[in-house]
Amino acid sequence: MTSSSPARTRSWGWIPVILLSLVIGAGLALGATTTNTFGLSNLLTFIYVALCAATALVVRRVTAQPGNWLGRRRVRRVVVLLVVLSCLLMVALPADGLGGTVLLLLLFLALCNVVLARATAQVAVSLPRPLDERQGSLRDRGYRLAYWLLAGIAGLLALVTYFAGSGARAWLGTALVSGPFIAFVVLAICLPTMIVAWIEPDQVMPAPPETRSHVWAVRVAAVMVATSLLVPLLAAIGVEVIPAQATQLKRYSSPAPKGSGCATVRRTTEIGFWFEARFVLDTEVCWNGHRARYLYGMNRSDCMASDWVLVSISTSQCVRRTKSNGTVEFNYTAWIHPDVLSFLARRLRVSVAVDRNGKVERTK
Amino acid sequence: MTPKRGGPDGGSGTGSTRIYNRIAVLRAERELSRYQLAEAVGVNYQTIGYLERGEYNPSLELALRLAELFELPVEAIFSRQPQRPMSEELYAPDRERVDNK
Repeated sequence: MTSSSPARTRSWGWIPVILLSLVIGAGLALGATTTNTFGLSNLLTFIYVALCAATALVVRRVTAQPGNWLGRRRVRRVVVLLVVLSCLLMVALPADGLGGTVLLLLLFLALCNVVLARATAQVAVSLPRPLDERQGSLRDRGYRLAYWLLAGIAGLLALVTYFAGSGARAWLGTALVSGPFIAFVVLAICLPTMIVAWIEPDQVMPAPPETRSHVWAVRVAAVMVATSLLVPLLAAIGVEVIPAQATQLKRYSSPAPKGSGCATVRRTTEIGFWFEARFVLDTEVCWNGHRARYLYGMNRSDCMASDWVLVSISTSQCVRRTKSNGTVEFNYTAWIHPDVLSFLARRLRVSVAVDRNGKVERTK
Repeated sequence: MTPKRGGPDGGSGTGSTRIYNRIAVLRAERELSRYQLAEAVGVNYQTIGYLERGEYNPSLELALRLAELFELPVEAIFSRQPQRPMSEELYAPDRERVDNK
């Protein structure tokens, strides 16, 4: 009997990671390209997608052993339960409440998938040949159970469709394009790894020492994974904390007698970085020393953002009025929610006021 | 033989009967680490750990490979019954001969 070469675990953990990254990146890119004209934000979005893809490739090349902490079955089961809870949350979300919350959940699931892939030494996503016999049988059992679980879920849905009333069918119709569908896809990708993580006993500790280059490769991969997950969160927080940038332009439209005149007033307010919104108030105002009046603009139709990237905006106030002292004033107040961490909200007030002498009085 | 819940193979489902072994003792005698033994027989080092803890039953091929490495018959390493200490097994025939005389 010949002694074969040592079994090496070839890493295929990048497949679920790259799929999830592509889903996230495509969602971000779609959101960024369809609702705005920000050149820099589009560039940042594509850089982020490239970062996700590069992270997946680096994770692919680094095969990390579970380590003392992730080697414990109890810890692995906690991570599996977190994935299940995230999927249940995704199922429970209303169809119109998707968007930012789903992106956040997908980011979290991507992190959990990386953790589980490491905790199981990528057993469930490796090709058969590099695994030893125990790992192979473990992987086979994981896929067998995952198949039956997914088949059970699909069968249950088919039964519901067949026997249930129109209400349940309507829910199913919505589910096929919303959270439950995404949860099903996530389970289809991650379930074998989750099952292996659940059933594998506590691992032998301590792990053998790793070479210095391998340790550094693991650190680089960990930093890239953390960056990929943290950057959208920081951008979302930036919507809340970065001060609004305002620019103002006043351009006289025509020469006029002293004390009267007309001018185009444009006020641009930008908020956030990458996850951002731009509000433009554009109006032409005339004044005669007694009162100011607007020629165009400053209507309710102006109460909307001109561009936005990965944020949602709701208008709370849109007021135009002429004061008793002849000043014309326009106030626009909106709530801005980042698509990731959508429970955060920032109140922004944009205001333009032109007095009876043509002076732009007060802006916020 | 005690059937173990979930299978002694750590859940892989390849068997339901525990196979006892002396791998830990033999490995210690030869001053091999789990990693070195795993390299020598071509498996993951975790598999050696599960074998030693009785949580995995090896295939016939792996059992023969271990027997070849330790230069012992397979039945000296693996058994379906709980194994007695090696010293007891070594000296038992002498005692039996003395008793017979």
